Amino acid sequence: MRIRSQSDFWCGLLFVAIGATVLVAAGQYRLGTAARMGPAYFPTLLGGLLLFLGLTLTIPALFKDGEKFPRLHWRPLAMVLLSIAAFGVTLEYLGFAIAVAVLVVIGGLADPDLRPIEAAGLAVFLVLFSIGIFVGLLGLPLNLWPSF
Amino acid sequence: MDIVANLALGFGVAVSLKNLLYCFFGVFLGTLIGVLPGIGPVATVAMLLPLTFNLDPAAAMIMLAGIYYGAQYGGSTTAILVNIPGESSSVITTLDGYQMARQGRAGPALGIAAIGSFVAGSVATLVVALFSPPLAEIALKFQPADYFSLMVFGLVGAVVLARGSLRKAIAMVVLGLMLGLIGFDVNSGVIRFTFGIPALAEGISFVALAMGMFGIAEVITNLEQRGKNREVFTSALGSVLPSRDDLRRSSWSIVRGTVLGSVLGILPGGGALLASFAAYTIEKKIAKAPRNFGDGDIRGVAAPESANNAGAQTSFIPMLTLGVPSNPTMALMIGALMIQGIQPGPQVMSQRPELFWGIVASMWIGNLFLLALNLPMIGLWVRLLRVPYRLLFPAILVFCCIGVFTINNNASDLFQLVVFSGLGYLLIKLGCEPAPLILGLVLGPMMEEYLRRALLISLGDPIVLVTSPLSLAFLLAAAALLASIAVPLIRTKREEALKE
Repeated sequence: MRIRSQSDFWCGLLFVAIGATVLVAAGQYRLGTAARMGPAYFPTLLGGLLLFLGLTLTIPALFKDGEKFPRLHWRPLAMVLLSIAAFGVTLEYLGFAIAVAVLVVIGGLADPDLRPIEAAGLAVFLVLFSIGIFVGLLGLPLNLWPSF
Repeated sequence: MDIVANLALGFGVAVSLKNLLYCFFGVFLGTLIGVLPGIGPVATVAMLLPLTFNLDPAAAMIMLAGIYYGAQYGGSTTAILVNIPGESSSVITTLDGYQMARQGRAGPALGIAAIGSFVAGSVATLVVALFSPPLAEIALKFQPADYFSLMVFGLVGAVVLARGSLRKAIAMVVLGLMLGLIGFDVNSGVIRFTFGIPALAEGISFVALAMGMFGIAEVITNLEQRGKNREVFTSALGSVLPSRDDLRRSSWSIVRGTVLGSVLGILPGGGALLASFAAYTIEKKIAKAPRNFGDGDIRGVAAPESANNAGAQTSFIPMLTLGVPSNPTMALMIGALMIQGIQPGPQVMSQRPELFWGIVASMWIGNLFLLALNLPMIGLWVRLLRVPYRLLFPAILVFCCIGVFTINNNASDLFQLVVFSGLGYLLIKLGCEPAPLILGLVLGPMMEEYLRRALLISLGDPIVLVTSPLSLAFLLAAAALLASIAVPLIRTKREEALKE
């Protein structure tokens, strides 16, 4: 069978999957009754509703023409997400200064137009600038340097 | 007169040197970040939220309100000079504002936007002061069932205004409600739906979610459109003071925009976006020479700019009196209040009058700063706009990451940021607006609690939702809203109005 509206189909399927996951996960908590709602009661209602809404997107998508699956740009997506994750990891072990530099350098790869020299300059500038603002001015308790 | 005494109390709080300073910083920083292309008020407020954590509640809210207005105005500046709306509420400003800039009249366009915003802001402050107390009084009588239905109404309002598919918008609300339930359940003491991740026990970090979906996802989308030409009109800025003729032509537009914005801002799902669209449409309808619209007509800047500022301001009314956010920025404000240990709702006004009236008074002061700050400093904002995006986005990334981290000083929040940025990007690509989701996120736990209480009182009979007249009225209003977009005629109108 041909899927006629790719965008709606996959979007609906995503909601169906999330709704189903919630319904399954709700099984391990107490449901209770309407008068005495347990921790699973409201989530079960919502999970069912989301599953239903997902189906109202997915099923018509088989019969009605619609938008194609959108084109995803992997380079900016991957580099930006990677840079944030790298910031989170390095911050704990290598301190704030290095983490900001890592964030700028990896994040900078998201845009091929950014030249290496510019990225390096930006990294130095943003490290100094954010230390000045967040540590100097606001006095946030951040570990600046590696702690070994 | 109560209101005079109340406002006096408010100004007493707001005019203290410390709070004036925070108000000023808020407006300044809000404009600074809001000017950056592609960064709207929601991302700006989320990014700057951590700056307010160490302040007392009044100062924090005053600063946040300043940030919000500043970000709004910054967005308009970008709309006029670069034709890139910082967010949806300044989309309409690009139509005539950018044309004015192309004709070398960027100065008067920016000037009239600031003046219109100030007039609208002053009137809207009065509206907030007049209408909040009676509304809070009514709200104190609300039963749990009424509250539940009010929230349903609010969420339906947000859904109706979201762009694109209705089913997708409802699904986003439901997804948001579910995400809001993750973590510790106060009633049963159970930790739910954390899927074995200990960091989720305290629930989803709503700042990480807002920043991911409104900030980072936006950065990624902007980076895709690389190479797209952005013309910044900076050479012929001219005088920012509009001529006498400009003022004469736009004064009624400002008045109409203000009235419309003040009314629409109160509605759930309303606020700045709806107000600016409606104001522009009306101006175009009643103008003697409507052909000029879209061609650099100053009325096409004055009306929507006044309306979106008035709407931004009166959208505080449901937030402050009912504890129900009408747009994503207000959802962030509620989050900020909760971080300060204050449960938003009608009791805030009676229990913390200095906080409530301080915020109201600072609204007006914030608008004054906005006028005083922006007219002389437009040159600075323009210079910021000349910085190419490839040099700006790493800075945006840095501020977003530091902002998210400093909320709990916890690196795990950064991994939530990664997840929500990716999810936000995918959902936006699939045609799902993130705004309804974030409203759901904030309202999720509250809706569950009110439904639980309502059904506890009625011994489990859901009929209680329609036997209480108020609750019934809210549900009927919600149904009418939904029905209105199901009807084909209004549906096409909605699509037209929400089309960029």
